[in-house]
Formats: sequence, structure tokens, C-alpha cells
Amino acid sequence: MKKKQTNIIFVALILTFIAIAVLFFLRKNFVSENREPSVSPADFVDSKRHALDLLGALVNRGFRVRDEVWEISLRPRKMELLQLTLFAGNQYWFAVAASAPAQRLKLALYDDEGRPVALDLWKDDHAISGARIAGGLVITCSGNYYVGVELLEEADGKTVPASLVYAYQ
Amino acid sequence: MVMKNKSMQLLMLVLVLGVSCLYGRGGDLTSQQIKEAVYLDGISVPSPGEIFAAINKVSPPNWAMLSHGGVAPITTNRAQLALAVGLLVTNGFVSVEAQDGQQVKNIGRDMMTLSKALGVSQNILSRGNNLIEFADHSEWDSLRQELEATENEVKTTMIEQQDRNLVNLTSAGAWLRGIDVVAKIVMNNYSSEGAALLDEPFLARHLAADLEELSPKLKNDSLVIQVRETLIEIATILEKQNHRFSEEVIAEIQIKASKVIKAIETSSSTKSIP
Repeated sequence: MKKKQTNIIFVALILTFIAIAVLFFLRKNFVSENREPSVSPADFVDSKRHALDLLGALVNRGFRVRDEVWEISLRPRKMELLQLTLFAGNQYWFAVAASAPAQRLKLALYDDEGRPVALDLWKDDHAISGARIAGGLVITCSGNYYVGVELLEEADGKTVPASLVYAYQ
Repeated sequence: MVMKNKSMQLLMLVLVLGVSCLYGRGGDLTSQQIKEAVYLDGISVPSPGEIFAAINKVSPPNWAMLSHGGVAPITTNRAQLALAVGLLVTNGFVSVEAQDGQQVKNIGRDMMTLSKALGVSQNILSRGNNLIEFADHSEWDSLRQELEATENEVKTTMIEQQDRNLVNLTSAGAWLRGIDVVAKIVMNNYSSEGAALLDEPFLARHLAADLEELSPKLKNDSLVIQVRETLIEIATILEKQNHRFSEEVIAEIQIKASKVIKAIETSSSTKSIP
């Protein structure tokens, strides 16, 4: 009897592992093939404005804001990554804003090999609709980096327009 | 019984590790994620102001010695014009660092001339006027913003006119001039920290790869070939150094960049705009 129970548990564990593996690969393909339609450029106006507002105070402290904006169509819980070249000694601040129904964002920075780099984060005070986040650091090693943005919470599971801007000093 | 319990524990451990592996090391990006990362010309390529801000912290140079308007080539070669716009943008940043208002104005006028030759000047006129006004009032921070905005406006107009190819050339020209300037600064006052700022082989290769994607006519232009080859050579030199760059290596990179910049600035006719 005990031997039978052990075998059942053993088989159950194997099947669970296989199911997880299959679900993982299916989920990846499902996300790729069932994208929400892209948002239009007009949808980014608010998110761009809010992201720039976040960095506005830094301008008075001598920071220079890059002219270009990364416009991102964020799907729930899928991290979007942007390549950047950052220089040692410079201080950088990244600001992301997403329109409603976004409720919570994640901002992260990774080095050339994909390892996380610590950011000093400012979290949304929910003063405006949507979600915002900012993060800053002083770069110690020049080179290629990846800044990541992820939509962690939203109201209705749809694609949300977001904008990332950054400033340096 | 003990053996069976141990086997079960080992199996559990293997299963947990297997599931963890499916989702990668905790927090790290997977190679697939890195591969899918977005590269946007206007933001992935750093502005000249960024590298100059960094070199100012390490080894502040005499910017006045480096400030010159450069030469706007007289040519009908659109690739050369686009490359030259990039050079002028970086020269503009150098002149701002030198707080050389007259040079900034000269560069602003040259950018207008090249933009007109490229057929992208209609949106740039106000930018050119802003550059002149900010230079007159010594508003250096505003000038940096305006220079970058002008470059982006030129690129946006190129895209609107179905001339996306030229955008990559402008970025390549700006980057090469930036490398040329920083290499000269580091050679003049060598430090490993200053040299490390040139550690951009990834970007050099990306810019070269972008030039591979140009239309056949542009791609096979002799100047574009020279620029692409220079980018690849610089990337290869940088990659071989294992993040340590000697004065000799910096000099080699500076010579390569300078040579192709001279080619960009040379007019196809006998005389160039002084």
C-alpha cells in the first residue's frame, strides 16, 4: 500500500513538472500571438507629459533631459526593455508614466549581462490618474545597459500606453 | 525505507531546481529578453552632451581648443549631407561646452544649409533661430536641449519624407565625432577613467549594422562603406582590450575616427564653405 502511494506521488510530481513546462511555453506563445492592438501616438500625450513632469524638478538642479521619449505599449506583466549606453560618473534619473487604467509599474535597470543594477526609486504618490515611477543612480561603469518597464497592476487587462524619459547630469 | 525517503527528497530538489531554471536566475534577464530589447536611435544612442558631461568629471579639457565649426561640405551626396549633419550636432555641443556663442551660431547656420540641401529644412527654421537666440543670450543649457531637439527634428523630417536611411547616417556621424573629441581629450591628459568612456563597442557595432540595412544605393556609396568599416574597426579594437584602453589604443581609434570625419567634411567640388 505504502509502495503504491509512493508511486502515485512520484508520478504526480513528474506530471506536475511536465504541466508547468508546457504551460510556460504555451504562455509565451499565447502572449506573442494574442497581442492587444497597438495604441496610437495620441494616446501617449498624457503619459509623456506626466513623465516629463516627474523630471521637471531635476532640471532646476542642473539635470538635462533627453529630448527623445520611449513610447511603450505595456501589456500586463510583460517587461519591456530598452538598450542604452550610460557613462561612468554621470547621474541618471529615469521616469515612467502610464495612463489609466495602469495602477502600478515596475522600473528596473540591468547591466550588459542582464544583471540587475540597484536604482534609488521614487514611488507613485497617486496624485494623478494612472501610474508613475522614477529611479536614479550614479553609473560606476560605462557601457551598455537595459532599462526595463513592467505593468504590474491594471484595471482591465488591456494594453496601456506609457512613456519613459531620462535625464542626466 | 530511508533510501526511498532520500530518493524522494532528491527528486523534489531536482523538480524545484528544474522549475526555477524555467524562469531563469532570480532577477536576471534571460538571453531571450536581451535579444528582444528595443533599440531606438533617438534614445539608445547617447547624446554628445552625455559623454561630454562624463569627461568633464574625469578630465575637464580646454574646450575652446576643441571648438570649431567644422566644414559643411558642398555636395549633392545625400549620405554625405546626413553624415555632416551629425558632425555639426556634435560640434555644436563642443562649442556649447566652450561657451563659444559665435561658433554655435555658425554651426546653426551650417545646419540650416545642410538641412535645406537635404530637403528637410522646413521644420528646422525655427530651431535654427532658437540656436542663434540662445547663443546670443549665452543660454548654454537651453542650447544643449535645442541642439538635441534640432537633430531629432531633422531625423523626424527625414522619416516623414520616407528617408529613414539618412537617420542612421546622421547618428553615425554624430557618434564618430564624439569619439574623436573624447579620444583627443584623453590623449591629451590620459587616465584610465577617461579612456573607459570610449568603451562602446556594442554601440559601434549597432551603428555599423544599421548601415548594413540601408538601401543598396546608399549602402554601396564609397563614403558609407568607409564609415561602416571604420565603425567595425573601432568596435573590434575596443572589444579586444578587455575594458582596458592604453594610450596607443586611444590614439589608434582617434586616427581612424578623424580620417573618416575628414572624408565626410570634404566637398565633392573643389571648394568647401570655410
